[in-house]
Amino acid sequence: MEVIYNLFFYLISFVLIISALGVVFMPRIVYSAVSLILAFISVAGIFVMLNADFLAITQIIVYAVGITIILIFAIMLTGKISEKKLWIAFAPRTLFAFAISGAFFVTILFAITDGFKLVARESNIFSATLPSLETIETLQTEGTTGIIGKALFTKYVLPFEVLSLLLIAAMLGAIVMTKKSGDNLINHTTKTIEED
Amino acid sequence: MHELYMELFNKLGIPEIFGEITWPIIPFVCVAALLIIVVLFLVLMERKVLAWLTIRKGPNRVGPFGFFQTIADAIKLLIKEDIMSKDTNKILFTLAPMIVFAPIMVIYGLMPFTEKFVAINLAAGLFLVFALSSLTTVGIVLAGWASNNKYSLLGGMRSAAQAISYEIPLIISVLSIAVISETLNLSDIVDAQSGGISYNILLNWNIFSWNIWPAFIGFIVFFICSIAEVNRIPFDLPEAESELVSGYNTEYSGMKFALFFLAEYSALFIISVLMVTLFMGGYLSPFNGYLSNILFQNIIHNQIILNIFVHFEQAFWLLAKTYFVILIIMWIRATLPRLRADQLMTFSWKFLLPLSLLNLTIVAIVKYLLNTGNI
Repeated sequence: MEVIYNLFFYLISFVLIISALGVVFMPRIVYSAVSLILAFISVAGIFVMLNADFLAITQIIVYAVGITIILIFAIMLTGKISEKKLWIAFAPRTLFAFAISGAFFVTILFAITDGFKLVARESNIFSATLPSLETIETLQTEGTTGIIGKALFTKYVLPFEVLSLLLIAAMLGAIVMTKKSGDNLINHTTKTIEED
Repeated sequence: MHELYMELFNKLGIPEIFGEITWPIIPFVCVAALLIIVVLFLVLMERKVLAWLTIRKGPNRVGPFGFFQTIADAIKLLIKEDIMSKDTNKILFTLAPMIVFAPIMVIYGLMPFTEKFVAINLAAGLFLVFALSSLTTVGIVLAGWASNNKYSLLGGMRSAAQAISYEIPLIISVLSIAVISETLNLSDIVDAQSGGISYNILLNWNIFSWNIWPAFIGFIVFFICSIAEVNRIPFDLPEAESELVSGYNTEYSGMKFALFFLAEYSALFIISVLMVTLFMGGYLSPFNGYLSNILFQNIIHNQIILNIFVHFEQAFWLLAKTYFVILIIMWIRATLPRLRADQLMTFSWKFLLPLSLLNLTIVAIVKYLLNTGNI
């Protein structure tokens, strides 16, 4: 089973790297969007290999479908971009983008090598030890949905609610932006009082 | 079964690793065969039922009562020329039918057709079903865009808008099922519906413990939304013939069109199986225990043979309920006219969404009272 696990891991990683490169280097923006779907699904595959089934499915439903559909819509509605072939321009702006992504890369590299172990030892948020074999077996049979649900509604209930506040703010912003000035926002539960 | 399969590899002298890799593929081969048979039958059934409802004869030339009509149609589609107009985006045009079809095939593997015939028994199976079914929307939008045809593009856009707005009440109504059965595993959801409401005679029939009773409003919301999800009349705006020729698949022909066609009818079957699994007890019989257990237990004493009979009975109950649901969906197709686009959106956001939230509240209160023992 070890061999099969490794085989699938390298297969998924290969697809992930190729599709991630495709997102950046594809000349047409629609192809970039399609290879982004592939990259998101490959990330979901890596989550599955780490026994994080709930996270993997959320990855598919939120990123591979939700985000990319919005992207594809945006590309379709701005018809002129989708016709042209694009390539990286050598401008100061590009260098700036390279610098930011380089900083992110270094941060992630630090996090997955030494930094993570350091942080894990200092704080008790992440456990530095690997989960026991029994824990992994129960995770594989029962899934992680229940554990995530319990954690969200007990230990992390404040961050969870704050996040929902953020979503409501975004929604209200969208309504305010799309509202025409003449729109009647009076609903069925209220009525205007006639003044004599 | 697994040991038997590995032994075969040992005897042939092929390394065991190939056996381990190919073992998970076998259920998918079975599922693919099942899918083809189901769709072939479903197309014939649809044509016959519609003919019957509109007082016509329907297909009656190929084979007895026209039974081989769909097989003839399938052969015609396979040997047809694959036409691709000059201005289409060739890569995406070819890729789109595959993106539509592949997730639906995986969903077939997730469905519990009998107690044992589940290709992928996953802890979060119910969640994965919706994740994958929403993935088909991406394929439809891409098909509409890649065709470089205004009707296709409009069809694809409409399909995406419809799928997104009807998925929300659909998933909230399904959430009530997760509340009732306390699991996302589809087999466990079916098991949780057995046993009846009391030990008395007649009240211990499985039909009384189906999820349809506590979540009746949810069932209605699910039924309406599922018709919208599979783009059927009265919600068939993405492929409205009178406005958009044929919607997103206008430019397609031959095998690529066949894939869309297959995906559409498989989705109809899948959503009906899901409805039966979630609300109507899945493969459970409506009575207390299985009929074959009661009828044959004095004749057949071999437990293994009896179990085989029980499995066939489970498949029978599932298919009987599923085809009953499909019959009602076809009946609706023959009866109702098409909605307008703005009516479609208003109906989903202003009527179905509040209704599904009401259902969730009712179910949660009932569940709380049951757990604390007040009922």
